[in-house]
Amino acid sequence: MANLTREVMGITFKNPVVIPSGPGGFGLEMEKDVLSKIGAFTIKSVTLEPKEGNPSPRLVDAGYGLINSIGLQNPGIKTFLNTIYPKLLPFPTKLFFSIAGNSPCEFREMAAVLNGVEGFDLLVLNLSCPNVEDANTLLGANPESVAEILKQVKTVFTTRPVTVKLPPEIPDFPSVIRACENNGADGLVLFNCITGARFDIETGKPFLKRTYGGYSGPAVKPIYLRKIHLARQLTKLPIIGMGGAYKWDDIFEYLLAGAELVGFGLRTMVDPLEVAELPEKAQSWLCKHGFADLTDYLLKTRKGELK
Amino acid sequence: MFKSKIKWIKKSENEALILIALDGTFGSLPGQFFMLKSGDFPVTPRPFSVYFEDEIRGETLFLLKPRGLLTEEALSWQIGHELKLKGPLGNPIPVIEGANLVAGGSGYAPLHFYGSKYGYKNFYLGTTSKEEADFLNNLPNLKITCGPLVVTERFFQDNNEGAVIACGPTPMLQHLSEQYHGGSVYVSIEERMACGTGMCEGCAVKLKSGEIKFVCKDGPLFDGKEVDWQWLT
Repeated sequence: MANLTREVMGITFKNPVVIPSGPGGFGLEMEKDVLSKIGAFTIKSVTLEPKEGNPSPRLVDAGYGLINSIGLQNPGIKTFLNTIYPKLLPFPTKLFFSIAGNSPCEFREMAAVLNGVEGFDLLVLNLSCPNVEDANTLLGANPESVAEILKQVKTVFTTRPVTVKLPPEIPDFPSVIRACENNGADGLVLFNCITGARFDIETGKPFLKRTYGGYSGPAVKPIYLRKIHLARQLTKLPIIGMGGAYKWDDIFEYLLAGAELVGFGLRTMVDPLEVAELPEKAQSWLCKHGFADLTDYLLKTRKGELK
Repeated sequence: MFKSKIKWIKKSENEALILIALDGTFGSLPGQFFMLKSGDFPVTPRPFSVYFEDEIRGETLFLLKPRGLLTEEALSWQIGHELKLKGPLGNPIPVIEGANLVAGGSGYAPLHFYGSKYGYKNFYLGTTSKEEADFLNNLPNLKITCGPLVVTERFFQDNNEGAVIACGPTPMLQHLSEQYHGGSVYVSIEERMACGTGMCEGCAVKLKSGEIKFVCKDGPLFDGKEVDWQWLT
């Protein structure tokens, strides 16, 4: 079988398939055997204080995508580390720890705790949750906030790579990218959900209690591929691409757009077993088309660009 | 998800309800549900309670109400149409000796399965049309209301006592939970969900204690008197 191994940020991934933060929860409901077949799993974002999340309805379907409004429900970092996290370890594949906060201080406080916590491989700073009323939604779109949070986190968190998860709606994208590069980000997670809404024509009301939510699924794929491609022109930082990836061939398409790893969010909710089968399907395709491995494929298909 | 084909399909005269039988039994118990999906669209599967599991004929039945992308497509499904399933999910309804059952519309599905398997004291069903009432009138002594007299009013008029298990629209479940004092009220809550297993945290229910629970993994059955209805509606 063709090798899908990827070396990114000093970490060896068995394949580029990643479960992003959110759709897989804390990983407790997923079988270890399933998790062992993917490159990495991201823990649903944890905050400094507990959050009960948004009132129902939290979901509305839109055919080729889903709008969610969960609102970062989590027990807070202290309870999470004491009660849930130990149950996850040892984790059967690479583990990403995602944190969300309202201010540089909150991020620093959590990062300081996590610096000495073993068992995960990479830190994700979620600066882009579309479903909370506080500051988190806007942090990732503001270069000054991004810079300050990174500075604070990098001061106290030195044991593993730090990545920044950005929203797809950023007025001045080049400035945010520069803020990441200049303040020590090791990689980018591109992107969180785009915001969306739906209304019930019978009741006249929005379907979601909070009206707006994060829209994800195959419908947004071309929009995200373009944005990832744009980001690749702006930076050499490794990119974990996500948003719209659903089928096995999307692994290749997101890598061609400029990502190093690819997140499959909605597909995880539909069926984690199907996500676990994606790498094997990609391997079969590579073999059938005469490529020795993923690197060989990327070298041959992008030979003009990579020099 | 795994695949199964439709063995037979029946529709109410006004096409407001569809009953489908899928090939195979999967060890379902009353109250449990499956996530169902047809082809690639819509992408997200939908939850449906098991209407009946027929071990002798080797089929699993679901009741669908055409009102969304998947259920409206279901009007054109034929015998042999292939569906994808995930389940059985959720917790079974515990057996409560001599429970009253109250169902609204397609909320009849889990209670039909429960009533067929374990029996009941009184079974009330509320429908929105005579055609639906005729279509679902298939258990002994069903007390069916159709039209303006809502099923909960009929239930209260009969001065019932003892436990009640209910499934239907949220306002109906809330009304029963708040107004019934003759015994416990257990409600099977319907809420939108994406994964059906507790990961996505979409189907949240808040209890009066402040605790957040999920319909898929903690329910679908909850003690109606413990639910924070203001948060849910």
